[in-house]
Amino acid sequence: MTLLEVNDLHVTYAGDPAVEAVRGVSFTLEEGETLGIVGESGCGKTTLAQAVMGALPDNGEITGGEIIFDGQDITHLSNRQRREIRWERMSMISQSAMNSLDPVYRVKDQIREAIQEHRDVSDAEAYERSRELMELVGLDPDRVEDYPHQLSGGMRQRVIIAMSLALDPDLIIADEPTTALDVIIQEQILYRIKELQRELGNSMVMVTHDISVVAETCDSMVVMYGGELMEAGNVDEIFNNAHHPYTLGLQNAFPSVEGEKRDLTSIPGSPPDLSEPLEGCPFASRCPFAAPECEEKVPVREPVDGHRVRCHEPVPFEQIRDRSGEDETWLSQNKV
Amino acid sequence: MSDQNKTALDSESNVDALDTELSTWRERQADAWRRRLAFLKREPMGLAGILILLAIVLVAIFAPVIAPYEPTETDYGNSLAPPSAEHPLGTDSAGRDIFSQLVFGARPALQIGLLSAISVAFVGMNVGLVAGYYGGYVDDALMRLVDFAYGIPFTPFIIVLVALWEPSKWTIVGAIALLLWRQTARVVRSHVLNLKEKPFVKSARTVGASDRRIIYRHIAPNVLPLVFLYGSFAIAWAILTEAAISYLGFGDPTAVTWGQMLQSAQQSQALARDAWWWFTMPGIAIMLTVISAFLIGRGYEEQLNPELQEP
Amino acid sequence: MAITEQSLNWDYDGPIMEVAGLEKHFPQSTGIVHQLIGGDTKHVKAVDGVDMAIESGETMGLVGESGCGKSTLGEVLIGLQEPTGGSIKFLGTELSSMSDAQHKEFRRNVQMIFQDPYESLNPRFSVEQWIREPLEVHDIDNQDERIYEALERAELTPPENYIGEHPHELSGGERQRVSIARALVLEPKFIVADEPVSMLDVSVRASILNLLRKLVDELDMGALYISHDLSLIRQMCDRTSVMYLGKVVERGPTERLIKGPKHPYARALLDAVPVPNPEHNISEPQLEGEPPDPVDLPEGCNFRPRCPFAAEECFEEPGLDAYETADGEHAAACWRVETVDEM
Ligand SMILES: Nc1ncnc2c1ncn2[C@@H]1O[C@H](COP(=O)(O)OP(=O)(O)OP(=O)(O)O)[C@@H](O)[C@H]1O
Ligand SMILES: Nc1ncnc2c1ncn2[C@@H]1O[C@H](COP(=O)(O)OP(=O)(O)O)[C@@H](O)[C@H]1O
Ligand code: SF4
Ligand code: SF4
Ligand SMILES: [Mg+2]
Ligand SMILES: [Mg+2]
Repeated sequence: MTLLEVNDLHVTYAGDPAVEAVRGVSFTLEEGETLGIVGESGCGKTTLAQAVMGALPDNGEITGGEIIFDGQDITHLSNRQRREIRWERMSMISQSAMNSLDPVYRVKDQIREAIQEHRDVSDAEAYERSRELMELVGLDPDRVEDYPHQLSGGMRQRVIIAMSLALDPDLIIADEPTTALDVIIQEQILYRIKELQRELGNSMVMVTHDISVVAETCDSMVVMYGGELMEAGNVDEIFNNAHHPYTLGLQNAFPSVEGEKRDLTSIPGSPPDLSEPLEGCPFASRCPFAAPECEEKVPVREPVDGHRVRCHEPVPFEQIRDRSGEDETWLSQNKV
Repeated sequence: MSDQNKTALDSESNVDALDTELSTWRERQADAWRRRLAFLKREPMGLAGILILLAIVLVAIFAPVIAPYEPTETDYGNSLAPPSAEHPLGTDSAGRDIFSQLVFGARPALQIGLLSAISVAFVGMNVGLVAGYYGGYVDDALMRLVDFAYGIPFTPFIIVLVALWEPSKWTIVGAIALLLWRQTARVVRSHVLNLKEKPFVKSARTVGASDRRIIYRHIAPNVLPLVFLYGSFAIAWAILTEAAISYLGFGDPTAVTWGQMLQSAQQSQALARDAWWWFTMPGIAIMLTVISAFLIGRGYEEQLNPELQEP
Repeated sequence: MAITEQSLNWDYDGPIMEVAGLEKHFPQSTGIVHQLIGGDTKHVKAVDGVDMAIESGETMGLVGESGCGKSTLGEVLIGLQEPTGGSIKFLGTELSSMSDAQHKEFRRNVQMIFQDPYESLNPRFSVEQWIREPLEVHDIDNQDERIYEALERAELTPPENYIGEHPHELSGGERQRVSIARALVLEPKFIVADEPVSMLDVSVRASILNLLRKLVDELDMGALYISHDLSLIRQMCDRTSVMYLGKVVERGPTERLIKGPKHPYARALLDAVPVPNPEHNISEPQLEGEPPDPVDLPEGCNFRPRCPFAAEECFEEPGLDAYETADGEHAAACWRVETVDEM
């Protein structure tokens, strides 16, 4: 069953200049599945996550499209109605969450507050639950007595995960949950998250700039660039049969400890300015395959069932795939 | 890239090319200065502060030209005259022209304010920098001194000082310099403790920069907005203190200052006698100067501090 | 490079940087009461007996979890922090016994690139001032040309577009290139790069790594590259040292180490690196928890409390020579390498 459906979503931040951070992104998420959203910083990943969560900053507004959660259109619900869904049915682990714990309260009080905000339970019950949650995320339950500064970064991030699980949500949105952590702790935390998902059966949106994390933890993925969707589909399909130059560029820029060592390509240039409207392909200024038609609106094509690509493909995609593995392809672009 | 460059440096024609490139670069540096000053445009309140202060400075410089009368010139026949064409802001009980007193009063106010600010900034900044950067015993000793300065109550200290020395503006500047540096020093020190751990300071040590260079070229500019801020508070404090001391009757009775004007207005019961112009005008002058100092401090802090602008 | 007063031994043909038994112990801050009753001060053993030699033209990788002492080792190596024990030799000359002139030369030839591109540039310096500073400090002539050349080397082209910029006007990748330009403007012979790309976007990471690699080759420097991620180390380093709780527990040629790690800790580190291959699903971590504070280290092998293979013999401390391949290039401080290999 489809749990979350996002259709042609647009999000704009008011200001001078106004920034249109999400520009027509669509995807669906099935129950029990994990969807990865990847792209470089500033491409609108966090904005998209916050829009789904109903937690946009005050100057952010959904300016088009719809978000359907469990059959209900939640795009334009009032704040109060959103609050009911938020945390009860969907929760978020945000980018810098581990620094957002309040330094003057003990962990147990912060978890208790998160529970009592929504559920009418006694202090004792909430306390029991907080110890349970700590165990669930692999922390010693006695550490609920600690203040945040007594915990390491990895431990604090686990506390945040515990809080996001407090009310058994159907959907967890994790925005770069491990970006600031070392690989050992990252593995521990991602493994925990996946284990819990298997046990509890919830769905997840995993926002990250690390395609390896997507490969290891997600079922399907969306590649974003400049606020737009570039390519989307099943993770196996995208990794084995990517069509889009940007996806291929990212894949070739990524180091791996697996297989033979190969040279990495880089993608010179910088992302487009999201305060400007854009008719054609947002990647055109960095794309080595860009052709005149790329200045025009880009259609979404579906080469394989469920695999969506937004590219004019001025040259056959086999050629794009072969040439994008060579550094010269990308460097020559820079010279123009 | 660098191979190309090495060979490029060897050949004559390329040296010329380099020359022109370097001159475009110098032009860009000039541009950078223009950009640095552009903050005034982006920060209208700061600009307002500067304009007000500039106006006060001009008034102080050209006081003899602007003032229609000698500030001390009495005219008992025309005492407590309300504002008129002859006396734009009226006269006091001795018939002295309020407007002229105001204009001449800008001089001691600015002198006291600026001198206090400079001494507070100088002492406070250096104590804070040295204590924070070197830490250890140096820090302990200097911070004990700050604690000691904090232990002294401000107004009584100044009154005692004025009583011991002569009641002049220099006493006030001295008193403020002796006391108010404590706040600047403490704030600067805590920032230095933080700044000296930043990688850019480590980077400076890595290239071999001396302690002096690190303190004055790397750390000091990063605390300067704060020093400036507290300096502008010191301007405000100094002017207010002068007013308060004079108002309490500890000032120099022969000086023409805004505080003295208030003091004589109070003594002559100007309020009861409905001579509102006598006490409101110096009040407004004091307020304007104090506010302009504050606005400049704020504007400077907001605009010249790139880190503060980042989210 | 025009060195007029050569006082260091530039003809030395041993390793450019060589440390032996290097230690950096920080006194642990204890409560005042503890000090008053005369309790002995404990020490955080951030670096605890490291031997390492780095040749010119070689990049040594240093990998390990957060808090295992990588940055401390890097900073001690370039003289940013005083070691509390052991020896550091640059071009064969002991750092602590260098004359003032030699020390100045050492300072000039040993540089560092820091992790955080947002904090490692002084926000008040323009790019030009920032790169000029090392030249001013060392009183070097032809500054304009050198600055220009350094910017080109760091691929900030055309240089005149960057010279007047301030850090807040630059992207993370550009800032890191400015750091590289500053570090290289003195044409150093040894450089420490402490996680230079961990805070950068994937699409720029590769270009910074490629650039560093190229420059180390071109300028024939020795380099120490610090990271917790073996996939980045693999791109950069000829040899790699694995560090745990202040000690090097494995060292070997990078490819060999990645194809066949020997120490259980190195195995876990490698296993933890995610790979861009959907066939891999995240597996159960080999390591639970985090390293203890390096204060009261366990007796014997310091990895013992977390090691899944610990046995009786591990109560004796293994040195790096506990396991060594026949050619002597790959070594691990573990008694049970063969046993574990068979498992
Ligand atoms: N100035 C200091 N005083 C006391 N302890 C310190 C100091 N600097 C570092 N340490 C301790 O030394 C150990 C090693 O720290 P270091 O910063 O070298 O680790 P690292 O391997 O670089 O970690 P990361 O990957 O997080 O950068 C840690 O336990 C740390 O707390
Ligand atoms: N509160 C905000 N106000 C204005 N612009 C914003 C705000 N938050 C993000 N943006 C802009 O929106 C764009 C997308 O940002 P974000 O969603 O955070 O990207 P990502 O998570 O992919 O790094 C960026 O250009 C960013 O500068
Ligand atoms: S080929 Fe054209 S449409 Fe496709 S990614 Fe490149 S610029 Fe965009
Ligand atoms: S020596 Fe023993 S405890 Fe240490 S790593 Fe080897 S097997 Fe583990
Ligand atoms: Mg984000
Ligand atoms: Mg470190």
